[in-house]
Amino acid sequence: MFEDLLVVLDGRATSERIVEWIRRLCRTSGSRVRLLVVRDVEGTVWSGAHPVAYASQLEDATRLECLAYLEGVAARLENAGIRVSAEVRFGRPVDAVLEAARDSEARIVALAEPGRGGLRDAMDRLAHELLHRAPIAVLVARARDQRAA
Amino acid sequence: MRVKTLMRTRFATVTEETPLAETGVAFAREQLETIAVVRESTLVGLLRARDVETMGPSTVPSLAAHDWAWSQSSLTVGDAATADFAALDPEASVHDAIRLLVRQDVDAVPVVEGAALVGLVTTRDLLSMLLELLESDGPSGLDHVLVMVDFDESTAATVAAGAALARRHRARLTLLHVLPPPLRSLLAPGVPRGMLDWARRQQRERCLVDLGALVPSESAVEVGRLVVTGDAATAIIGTAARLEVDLIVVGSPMRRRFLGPSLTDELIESAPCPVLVVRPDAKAGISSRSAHARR
Repeated sequence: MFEDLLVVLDGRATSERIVEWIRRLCRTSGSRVRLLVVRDVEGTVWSGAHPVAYASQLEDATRLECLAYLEGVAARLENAGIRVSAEVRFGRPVDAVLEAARDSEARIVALAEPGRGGLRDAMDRLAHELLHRAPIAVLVARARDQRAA
Repeated sequence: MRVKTLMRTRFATVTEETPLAETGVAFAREQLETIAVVRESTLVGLLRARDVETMGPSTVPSLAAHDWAWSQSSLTVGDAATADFAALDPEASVHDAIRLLVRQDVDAVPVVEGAALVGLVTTRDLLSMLLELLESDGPSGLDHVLVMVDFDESTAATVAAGAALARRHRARLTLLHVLPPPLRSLLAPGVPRGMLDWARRQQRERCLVDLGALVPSESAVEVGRLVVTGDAATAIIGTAARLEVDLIVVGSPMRRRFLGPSLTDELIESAPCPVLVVRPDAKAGISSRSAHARR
């Protein structure tokens, strides 16, 4: 069960709180971890009737930016002997996460939520939706008021 | 670290009289390319796979036809083994062993006391040691896992996940069941308090027995059992904080509260450590395709 994990990040330090827990959890298991960032679908930017930037161009730029970020996170896990891959998806977060989990055959989805109370933050909402929709195990850490890994 | 703490003491050996054709079994069983040659228990040489190959029949098929029968019937280990080898003392350091393995370009070196063969140090053993050292330098694992047991359809998957984690991390596993607070006035008006307390104790004892039956004794996990009474979320969070657990494992779906947040949501909101929510059919993957996302 703990060999294939999907870790959802959003680029903020609060979401990276899960990374240290994953390092602890996978310490002796030879696990495979897939890092995922989900971004909104980009729309083509128009100037009058002329397109300034196509949606695909904007998504490519966002993907490159996110993969560069994930590369840094991956290094922290790889140092602990964990096999890591990374990807960026576009769309509604919960759908993108579930599809990524299906494609990677993950057995656990892991994420950290800011934990400010309520569902004001996108990661809080994502955690809440995953808990009720994901057909696989969900690991949730809180970025505030919780013991450090 | 000394060689005597690292060397393997059970391994295959051959004698000088062993037919060379029969050594393939020893090489394959040990997964080594170096086999010790002994006379009684005295080390007299080393047989290396590359030496056996050079003594074998010709690689030219027309010539091999003539060599084959001769090589199979006449050659023995004594013809191929080398008597020019270095050995280690059991008190030698691991550094000495590594230097010797590198210098001799072999995958195993013998360890001798006097002339008697007492062990073998292999590159495989050294790599295993290196891996252990690297892992011990990494982050610490989990020390204590708390599993909430509701005795419902998710119990088997929840306990299995918690036990697997505890076994992997050699962590302590605590199984917790929370009994709801007694509704004395509604359920048992007029029943003596002593009788209710007795029934409660019986229920608690039965739960402890049921918890004990969830993890087989041969699972090599240190298991603790707890039954507490009260509000489920408060009891789990309080127990997790008191025991300083590293992870709470709960099943899903957990009981929903009337007009309130689900127990799972409340746990995640207030738990002192991460929460792993396990599905009853945790072994199943995702089969339905979500349509609104793309890579």
